[in-house]
Amino acid sequence: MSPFRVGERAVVRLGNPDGHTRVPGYLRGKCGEVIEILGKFVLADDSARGIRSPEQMLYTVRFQAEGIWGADGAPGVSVTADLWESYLEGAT
Amino acid sequence: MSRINDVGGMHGFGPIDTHDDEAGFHHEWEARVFAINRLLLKAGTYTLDEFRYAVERMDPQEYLAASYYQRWLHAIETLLAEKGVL
Amino acid sequence: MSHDHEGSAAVSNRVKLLVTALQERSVLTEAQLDDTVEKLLLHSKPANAFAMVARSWVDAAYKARLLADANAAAAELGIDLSHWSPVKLRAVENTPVSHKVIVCTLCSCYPIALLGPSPTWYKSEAYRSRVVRDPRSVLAEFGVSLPDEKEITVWDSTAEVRYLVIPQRPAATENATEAQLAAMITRNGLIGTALL
Repeated sequence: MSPFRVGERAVVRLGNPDGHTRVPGYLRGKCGEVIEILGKFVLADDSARGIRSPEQMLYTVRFQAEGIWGADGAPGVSVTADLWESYLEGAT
Repeated sequence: MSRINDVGGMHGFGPIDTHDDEAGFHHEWEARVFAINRLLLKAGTYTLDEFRYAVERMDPQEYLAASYYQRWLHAIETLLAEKGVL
Repeated sequence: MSHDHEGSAAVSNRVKLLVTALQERSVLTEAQLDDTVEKLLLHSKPANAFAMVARSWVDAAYKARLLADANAAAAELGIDLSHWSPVKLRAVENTPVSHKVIVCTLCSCYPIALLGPSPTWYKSEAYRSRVVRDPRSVLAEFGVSLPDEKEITVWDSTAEVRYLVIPQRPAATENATEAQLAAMITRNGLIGTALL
């Protein structure tokens, strides 16, 4: 999995894992822009289950409201979230 | 997993009570629950992620009926039982 | 076990029993609990963030450092973050074209180290559910009306970063001292639900 760069588009992977995760449901499948590389952190999904996995890159990704909520999204509104690399895939 | 905590975008929670309460804790027991959690995290009894997960695993109806620090208390009790501390 | 409508007295008793059990097993002591609460209230208070933001208004170089590394900028003013390590703090700045507001939709992540315990509304489902979908109406409930052309970015604290808003410096404060500026700052202003 190649790391993302600032300015690159990324899509939040679809899924509904039966356990702890820090992907907010409203961002599943949504496409945003990587605006910050925050460094490596322990993946919360694993840590919550007591699994010690290697730290993973964390990114701040910005999503436009129309991209999240469709016609209900207000113009000029965006939402950012901090998402681990394995939550994301490249936008095609 | 109900993921009842994952409320972003949900409808139906009504207006926000915007009253700006300066006090961090409204009852002494809330401060105690806060302190118990800090000490157990510091001692490595459980991780912050395990703690959050324990809150999220609450029965959804119980979760919604509980106050913020009641949820914490529930999670602490759950983890201490699961880890065999109590 | 159901805690529906459990009264505060009942919960208080439950906490007492828990503390007793933890003491019996030598997991913690009363003194440690008291010390933890005392330290929290002493070290983690809004005055920390007020000082940082006021400094950033009078010292452009400090603001640049605050935006680049909020942990280091806090340490520079003698703010002790050790109780909260390894928390990563990040400041985001309001500008004439863009307003910022902070939330944690998944739980209630908040920069406690800089602002103390969070207000009740910040932890409410009502705020957490709606501010990401309709920030303008949420801000209106707080008495904040922004012009339509003002962009809004909602920062959802989904991982290890705790956010803080640097509001715009209030108008007509050119002659104000740093201490006077700090006194104009409100907690909601640093979450993004108030203008200064």
